[in-house]
Amino acid sequence: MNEELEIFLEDCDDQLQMMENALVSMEKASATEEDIGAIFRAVHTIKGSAGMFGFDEIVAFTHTGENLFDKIRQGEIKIDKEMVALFLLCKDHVEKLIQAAVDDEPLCDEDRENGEKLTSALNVYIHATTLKKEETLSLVNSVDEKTLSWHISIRFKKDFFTTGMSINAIFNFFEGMGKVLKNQAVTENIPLLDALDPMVPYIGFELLFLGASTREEIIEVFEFIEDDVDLILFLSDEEGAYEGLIQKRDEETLQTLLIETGFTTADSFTPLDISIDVEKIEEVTLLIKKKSSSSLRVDSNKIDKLINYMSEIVIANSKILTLVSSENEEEENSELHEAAHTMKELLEHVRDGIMDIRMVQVGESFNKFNRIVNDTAKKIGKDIEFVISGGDTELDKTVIERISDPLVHMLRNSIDHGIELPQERVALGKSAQGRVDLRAYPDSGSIVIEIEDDGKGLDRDKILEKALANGLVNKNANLSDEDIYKFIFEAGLSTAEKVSDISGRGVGMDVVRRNIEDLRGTIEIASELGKGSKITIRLPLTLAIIDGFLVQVGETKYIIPLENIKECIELTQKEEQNMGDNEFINLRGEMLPLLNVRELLAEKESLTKRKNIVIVYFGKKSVGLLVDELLGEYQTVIKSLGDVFVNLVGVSGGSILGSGEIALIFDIPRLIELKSRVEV
Amino acid sequence: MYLKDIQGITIYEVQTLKVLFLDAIEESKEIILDMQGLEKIDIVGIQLLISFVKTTKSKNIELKLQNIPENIYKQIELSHCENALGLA
Repeated sequence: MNEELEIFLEDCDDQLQMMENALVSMEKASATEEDIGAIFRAVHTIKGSAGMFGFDEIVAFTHTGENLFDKIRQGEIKIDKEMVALFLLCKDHVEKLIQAAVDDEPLCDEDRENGEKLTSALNVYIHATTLKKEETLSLVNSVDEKTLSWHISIRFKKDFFTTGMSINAIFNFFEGMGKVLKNQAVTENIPLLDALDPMVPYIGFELLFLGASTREEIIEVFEFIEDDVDLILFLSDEEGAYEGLIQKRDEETLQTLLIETGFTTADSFTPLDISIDVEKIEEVTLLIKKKSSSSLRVDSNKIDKLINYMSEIVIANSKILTLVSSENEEEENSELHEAAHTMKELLEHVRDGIMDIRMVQVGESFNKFNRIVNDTAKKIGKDIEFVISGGDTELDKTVIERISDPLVHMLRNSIDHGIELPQERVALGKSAQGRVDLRAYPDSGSIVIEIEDDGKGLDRDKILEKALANGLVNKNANLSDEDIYKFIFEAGLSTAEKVSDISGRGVGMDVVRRNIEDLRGTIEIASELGKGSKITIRLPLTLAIIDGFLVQVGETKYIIPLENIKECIELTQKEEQNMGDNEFINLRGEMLPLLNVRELLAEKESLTKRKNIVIVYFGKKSVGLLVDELLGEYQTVIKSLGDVFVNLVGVSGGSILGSGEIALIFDIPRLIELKSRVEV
Repeated sequence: MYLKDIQGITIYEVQTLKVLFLDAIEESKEIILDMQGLEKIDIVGIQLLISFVKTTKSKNIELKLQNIPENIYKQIELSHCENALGLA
């Protein structure tokens, strides 16, 4: 897909999401002017953008929707719940049209038929008010105080022709926004054939446009080609503006052309006078700018590349620091040290700044769930209040994308199996309307996402029965309630009495857990029978970087994520003797299981006699990792080890140290799980 | 010189057509560009035609654009270039 199409698709996604948010809001409460305006703008923008690409089917369908919404906006029609439901279906259909257009594939027959039905349904509403339209037409045609006369001077940069964008589509778009009073091709710059490069755009256009559009709205028309067009835009009655245009364009015959074609008169131009204040001319001439919004769309792959390069630079600089330190141990060249340290700090600031670009607010993603919860609840006859909080919490874009499906799955489970039917709830003394909360908040370097419902809660005994039946646990095992609830993450385990098309097959929560663990996250469940359940997910702020603690075992260095470390202690000879062959120690009266990393990963014996224990935890479980040396805190970028090492137990990635060595990063949850399984 | 059987004057054909037009200019004082059967034209092609028109004018060569299909004329009109091509 070329870049323009990608931008088109992303922009349409944003517009459709705004539309959906507004429609869902209208479903719950009465329509506000803001909602109506938002929907109209979304449809109008999609129609215009599609027109630029020549996607006629999208233009035709959205045109009908836009017409109807314009009537709603003008107060000719009052929107009701049936119309909202119709518009939601239209929104879904537009999504399909957009995807088909971008993929350059035709719609399937079913979707085509569906589109025709939706168009007919929209037209029913439109034609109901046709008679009234005739009366208002004269008003529309009369001079409107808000109508402005804009002069738009268009020239193209050298790559414009290769973008494939249609200039006629732009002209058509303006016709839709208002009235193009004049459109004059400027051919002065087209050279004779022997000097012509056919692929270079020499042609230009001067337009006189009448409409109620603002400067920003006009500039927005050129959004998709803003890098390939040179635009000068001003109000045609602005003093000195035409003179400014001539100065800027520096085209010999332009002034004559503008006068002869009636854009302006000779009075607009003062006689040539070298004392003209050039600065004043600059002020009245307006060049196209980027959109007034302070944001800029950036391909996330570009950011990932930047992060990679930055991380390599940080590593290379660490190497410099190491060399500087080792070569100047005695002399301590303070200037060189200082320079190297300053560089390190600056590089880390830049890296952190780039990492920050990847952070997006979770609310943007969470808002999409409104529709899903709405539709799912409606489908099974449940009444649910869905509350989102902490939407401004920021998380790495990649993490948000990958957590989306697991969250949808858990929400569906909550609705399907958690919340009772309204009549059941009333019989239990609860309100008929159930509640599902989706929360996000930062906590100790992680992001916590909670899904809580006030439904029937988990049946501990049923889950244990099923787990025993499936051979997942020994009947004599001593398990806490949380341990039992976690069995719902095992494949094939579902205590649902019947399978709905929403959930209940026992396939899904295992995938959810795996997805979360792949994100270096954790998931826990709390529940009370009859009252409800709460799922708590902890996620790292970002996947790319890790705050770790460097240790050595044998000849290999390892990194332990700081967030999993409780404390570090030395294993004294006396304690080692007391241990004997046992794999646990007495830590302040409590037994701590030990994991011998050397044995687990077949490391060589250390030359030092020193041994240390790094006590790590995950959830409520702790384990002591038996290591040789403790080397200190270390922040680094995680590098994947690749598919070859995907099954390597207890290691989640690697990192390159300043010395050039590779350090492996421990996967603490997996290590603790491994230790637990061995014990059980 | 009679130029005909041109199916498209678009970004895809302009390089070839430029050579064809230059050759025609070298060889003849009267050129007829018969656009019967022309199926496609775009702004790149229109620009080339404008340059062709300008060049023949500068060299006092008579150039006639004939049998312009309706849809092609419409495209030229939509681009507001009919004057520049001497068609208005």
